[in-house]
Amino acid sequence: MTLATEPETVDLRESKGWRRSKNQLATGLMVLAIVVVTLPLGWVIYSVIKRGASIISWSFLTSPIPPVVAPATTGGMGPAVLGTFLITGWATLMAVPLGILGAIYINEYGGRGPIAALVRFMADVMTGVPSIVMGLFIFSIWTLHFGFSGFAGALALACLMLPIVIRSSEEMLKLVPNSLREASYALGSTKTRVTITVVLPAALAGIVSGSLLAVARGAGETAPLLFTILTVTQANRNVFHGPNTALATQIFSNATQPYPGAESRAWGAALTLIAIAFILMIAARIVTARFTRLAR
Amino acid sequence: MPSVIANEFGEASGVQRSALIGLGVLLFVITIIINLAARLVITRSARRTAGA
Repeated sequence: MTLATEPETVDLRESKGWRRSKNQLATGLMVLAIVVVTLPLGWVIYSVIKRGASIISWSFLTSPIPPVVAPATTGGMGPAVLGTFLITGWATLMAVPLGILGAIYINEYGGRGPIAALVRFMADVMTGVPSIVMGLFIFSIWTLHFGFSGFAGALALACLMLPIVIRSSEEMLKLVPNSLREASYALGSTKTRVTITVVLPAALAGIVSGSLLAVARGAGETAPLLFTILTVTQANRNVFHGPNTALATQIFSNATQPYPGAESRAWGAALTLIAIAFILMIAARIVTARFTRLAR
Repeated sequence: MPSVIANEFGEASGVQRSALIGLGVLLFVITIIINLAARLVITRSARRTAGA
């Protein structure tokens, strides 16, 4: 009678062989890839903090920009901080509402139609346009006729931010499940009502974080501002008239100077810019978390 | 090309300014061509996966 014999215990774990070492090799390569990806970011942040932290203070953020020959301890970047906020703010006001409306059209109304395909294609092309070409474009259609102003810079930044807002909002609207829309239609809502009260709130968190990413990207752009705001050193509260200044262009003009004071002010401005972008990212995260909690 | 535009545009006027704007147009055309090529590759691979 051999029916009741115990089944032979089989060790399912791999013996030390080629497959195990292949696994370890792949894990090692993945860790290496993570290090390669994060190393440049860490390095950039480290070097900017190392050279910029010593000059940053409240007075650096508020006091006027001194002549380039002034030593590092005098003056600050106040006008540039003000200009960055004004110009980026105006650009956001123009690009974000338009971008979200465009994304709603593409995803909710346009569908597979030719106009939606055209808008999508144009947004793709706009994403690829070099930022300096946007600067030249605004220079030739706006600055040549109305002169240098912060608003021209805001227009150029808005052109850069618009495609990012459109594409990220569109992706977020795509993620909204169709069953939500159908349920709302079944209750008798019109298309406008479905879009405003059901689809938009469901996608709001993603749209907000995508828009803030676009804002952070716009705040850091240098090239489109070079010919549109004519980087000056005086503060200019009027966005619509007269040359303006911004952090990114101040970094460009100060870092190319041979004077140590100007160079360290450029590092300080770089750290300020990184801090602004970082704060925007954190704000995006907080907003996203809050809205997703409300939506549940 | 972008760095040439950025560096020389500040002190350019007349013909040189036109030339730099022309350089910008060339840069724009190059990016559009690359974009179209990328789109072609994507639609082609999408058609292949849809057909399979």
